[in-house]
This record gives sequence, structure tokens and C-alpha cells, in this order.
Amino acid sequence: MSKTFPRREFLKSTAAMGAGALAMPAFVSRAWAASDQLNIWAYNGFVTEEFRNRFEKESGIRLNIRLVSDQGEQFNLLAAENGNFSTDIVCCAGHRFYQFVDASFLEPVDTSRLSNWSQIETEYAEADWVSRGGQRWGVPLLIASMGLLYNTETFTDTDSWAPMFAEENKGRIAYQIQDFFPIAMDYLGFDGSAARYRGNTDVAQRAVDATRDFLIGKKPLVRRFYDSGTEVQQMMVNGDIALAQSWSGAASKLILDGFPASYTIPKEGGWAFAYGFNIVRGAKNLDNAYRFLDALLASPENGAAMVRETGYISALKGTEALLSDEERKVLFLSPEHRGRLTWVNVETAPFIFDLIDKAAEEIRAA
Amino acid sequence: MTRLLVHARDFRAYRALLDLHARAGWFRLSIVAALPVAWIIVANLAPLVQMAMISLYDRYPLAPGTEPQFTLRHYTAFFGRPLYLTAFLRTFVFGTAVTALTLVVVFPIAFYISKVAAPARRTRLLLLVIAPFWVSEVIRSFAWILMLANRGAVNSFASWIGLPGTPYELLYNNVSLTIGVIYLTSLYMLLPLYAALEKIDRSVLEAASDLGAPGWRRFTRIVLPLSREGVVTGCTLVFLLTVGLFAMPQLLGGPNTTMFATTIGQVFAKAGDSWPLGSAFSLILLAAALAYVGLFMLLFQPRRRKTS
Repeated sequence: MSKTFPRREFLKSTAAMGAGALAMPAFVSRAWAASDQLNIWAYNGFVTEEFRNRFEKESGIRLNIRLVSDQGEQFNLLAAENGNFSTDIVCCAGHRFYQFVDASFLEPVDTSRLSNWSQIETEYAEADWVSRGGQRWGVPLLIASMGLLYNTETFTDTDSWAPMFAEENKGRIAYQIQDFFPIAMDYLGFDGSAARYRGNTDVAQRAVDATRDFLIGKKPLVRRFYDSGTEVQQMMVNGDIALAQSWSGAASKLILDGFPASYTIPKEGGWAFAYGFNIVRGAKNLDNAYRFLDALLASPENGAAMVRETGYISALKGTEALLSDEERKVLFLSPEHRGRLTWVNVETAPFIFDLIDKAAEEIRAA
Repeated sequence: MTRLLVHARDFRAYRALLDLHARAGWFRLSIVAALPVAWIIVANLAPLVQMAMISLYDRYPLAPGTEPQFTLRHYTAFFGRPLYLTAFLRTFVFGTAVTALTLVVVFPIAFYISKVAAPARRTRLLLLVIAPFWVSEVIRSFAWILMLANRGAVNSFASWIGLPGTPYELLYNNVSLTIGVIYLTSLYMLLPLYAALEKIDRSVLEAASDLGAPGWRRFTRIVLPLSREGVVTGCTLVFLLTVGLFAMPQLLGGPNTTMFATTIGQVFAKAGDSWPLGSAFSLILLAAALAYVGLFMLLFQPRRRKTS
């Protein structure tokens, strides 16, 4: 029996396959928008396994979590998706969220849809670093500080950033350039928050240039410019460095794991910022996003679990009481050290970070 | 397979295709070339064209409802900031040095496998050399971190045998980066060299030996000239790979070893409208690397004799 394959049928099949391939983004897009799904980009530990299982079981909503490593990665992914976002929730840092707002990537948060909004500590819920243009753009969850981490077997107690610039510590120093830059500005007597330079670009540029030149001059002392918290932990454990500018989360985890280290906010000052979850513009699963955020805020147990996973302090009320004495000792700063922290000024952040980002590239390239 | 092809002749469409194939030379050529050409256009040229366009935009990503403004300022930024030139020149110096070192390290291995080892063992030896390349670049970089860290294997061993001045700073500098990059790129030097050396007739080397030529003379007068094509291909591949490396310099390099590709990566990774600047820098690096390699090939590529 001979079989034939008529040309018309062949063309029809090809056309059907082509149409299927062309329509694929629509199918995928619909999958993103399925009613029982929620897509989240988050840092490791921000959605704990225990919470995820409980939430999925109780709500019937499946969480699709993509782990991200920094703000730039999320920003560039959203930029590449050009408005047709594959996620509903992103995880912005308080000192960088303005870039996401200005790029029209985020949706304002309607706090009336979050019955547990009052569970957030008032000082964080009302903070200006989640507001822009009179609207609230995120749900603050974890509070981070930037201070000095040092190996206590190598260094006695230090209360200054000076060892980070001392010749005798050559080859034992590491920092993340962008985050250390405002600290170095403060150390040199400039204003890392740029509040003093408001509206005066020339003065700010001169301060940034002077700090950049100072850091380039001190570059031979630096063992490595790192990018993530795990890198600073790894370098400490491997004995490659003995002191570093660090985020409190990476430092706390290292100390709680038994490494002989200490974390402090030196007298010249340190910086504080918050991480939160933000809803993207036109989120396809908006109702699920609000259900998820409300469930996360519902119990201090969720905050305590996040603290143990990340090493940061929770923004939820009642979390501190659930931690052990040892955890409290490592995680919480004394009132004196807390008083040395400066919160990133959201109004001046776009202005100063633009200058700092360029200077950071130049330090790295020099 | 043969049965399948015979069976396929039952279909009219297939027979029509065969007829066309037999009659028209252009059709044969287009069938053979269609897939590779499509691949080159879609996978290689399209992203470059897109990148070239973005490099001329004033800002990107574009805010909703805005049109791009065209500018050359991202190209002039490269020449306007001398610190970028430092990383750019460092990349070319490092790439040249690493390529030369890789050649020196890999040439004896390629020569041993192709000319000294028994033919039956050659495949096994090649597999042995290729085996580490089945593991990703990032994992191999972490392996080197474990080896070279202050409390890593090398320093622990040096300390154990009582060498003075330990731990040595082997990581996050040119030492670790050079070792890592040579390890990473050696395969791309080995395979062209092996292919070129294997073609050299053993009897030529034996004749030279019989006539009293010492080893170094046989190397400089026979082995090196006859393997020149492999050397040029290997060096080209290694150099182009080295100047474009991002992950390994990030993991094994230090503050003073920043390569231009890392600078570009940092520009792209930044949250903000930095894509045009990153795209312009990428195209500058691409053009300069191709020009450098083109000059190298012009100088060292063996000329083919014209046959009448």
C-alpha cells in the first residue's frame, strides 16, 4: 500500500506547528498567570521552606521561587522582560528600590489589603525608605546594617574603620565597593548620604572623586572586592582576609556558626537599610501576592525563621522574644552602636548612587 | 535507514524534492547552507546587531511610552575616562601573556601525545586531558580556590614540609588568575596543536636525526614550521577566549587584575540605564580583539602557495 502526503496537508501541518511555536509565549504567559500560582524572585532564606510548605498547603497557591543574587540582576531581568513580567513579587533593598520605581517596574502597595500590616514595627512601617511620590512601594521585612567584620584571633577589639586603610593590614582586607563607598566618604569627612550636597552636583562630584582617588590609592591593601555575603564568609574561613566591610546577615551567620569573629559599627558610622517584598507593575497574580504578603506578616514566628535563615533582623513585632539569648547577642546591636547607623536617604540616593556607581567601576578598573 | 529512505520515495513530496535536488545546483547549496546560515544569523549576528543598536541609544531600558534618542556618548565615554583604558590594556597584555604561556605549557603535551605515545594510547591520553572539561568553569574555579587559599591544599602542604613564610598569597592575584585561565583554555590550544603535529611525517624527523640534527634543531627547523598552522589557530582561540572571560577573573582575580570583560559585566549588572554603555564597551572590545587577532594571523599564518 502506498502512502502519499499531499502538499496541502504538509503545508497545513507546518503552518499549525509554526503557529504553535509563535503562540508559545502566550501559553507560557498564561501559565504565569494561573490562579493557583505565585511567582517570586527572592534572596535565599527570605521564603523559608517551612513557611512555603505551610502556605502552599493552607492556601492552595503554589509558590514558584527564583533565587536572585542582587538588585542589578532583578532590575536587568525586569528590563529585559519589557513590561511582560514573569514574576509577581521582587525583593528590593530599601536604598535601591527608587530605581525600580522610577523605571515603572513596581506597583504601589495597597496597605488596606494587608490586614496584618500593623504587625510591622511602626518605625519601619512608617519609614520614608518605602515611600516615593506619596505612595508606599514595598513591605519591609528584614533590616540590615553595614559594619566592620573582623577575625578576633587576629585583631583585638576595634572601634574604627582606620584598620581598613592601614598598611599593616595589607592583603587582609575585603569590601564591596558600592556599599563601602559611602562609609569611606564619611570616614574622610564627606557626607556619604549626600544630604549636605542636595542640589549641588559639583560639590558632590568633588567629594566622590576625592573618595575614589583615596580608595584607588589604598587598592594595593585590598585582597579582594567581593560581591556577595557568602564570598566574605568563605574568605574569612579560608584565612584569606581578616577584616572586611560586611552586611550584618553574613557576619551574624558566620559568628553563629562558631567562627571566631566580631561585628561592630565603628565610631565613624555605618549604614542601615531594609529588604522587603515589592509587587511588580501589572502583576498577573495580584490577589495571590497580597495573600502571600499578608500570611508572611501574620506571625512573628515567620520573622524569627527568616532571621535564622538570613542573619538579618526582622521588621515584624515580637520576633526578638522568639530568639535564643545567643542569637539576640549576635544579631542585635547595642543602643550605642545602633545610634551610629545612618539610614539611606531616599531623596538623595538616586543622585549620590549614580555618582558612586560610576566611581566604583573606575576603582575596579584602575 | 536505507529502508526508511526507500520507503520515503512513496511520498510524492519527497520525490519532488529529490528531483529538484538533482536538477538545481543552487537548491543543493541552499539546503546544505540553510541551517548553518540561519544559525549564524539568529544566534551570532542578531544579538550583535541588537547590541549595536542599544549602544547608540541615549538610555535603555526605555521608560514606557518613550522613544529612543540616538547618541555616540557611550563610545566617547570609553576614551574620556582613562581608568577604563587601564583595564582595557591590562586585558590585552594579560591575554597575550597567558596565550604565550599556554602555548609553552601545552606544546610538549601535544607533542608527546601525537608523536611519542603509542598510537593505541593516544585516544586514551586525549580523553585524560579532556576529562576535566566535562566540569563547568565555575566549579573548576572553586576547586582552585580550595587549592590556593591561605588555608588551602598548597599552603597547607608548604607549611607541613616546613617552608618559611607561609601562608603564601596565591589567591586573588595574577598567580591564581593565570593558573586558572591556562587550565581553562589549554584544551583549545591542545586540539589544534595535536591535529597539526600528528600530520608531520615521522620519517622526516627520523631523516633529520640520521643526518645528525640535534633535538633543538629538529624542533626549530621541522616541528615548529610544520605545526605553525596549529600554533596560530590555538593562539587565536586561547586569546579570544581569554579577553572575553568573565566568571574566572571574578572568582580567582583580585583588585588589581580586573579585566575589561569584568568591567563590562559590572556595567551590565548595575541597576539602572547602563545597557548602552555596556553594549558600547562590548563592541569596542570585540572590534579591538578581532583586529589584534587579525594582525597576528597576518603576521604568523603560513601563506598557502598558489597552484597554477
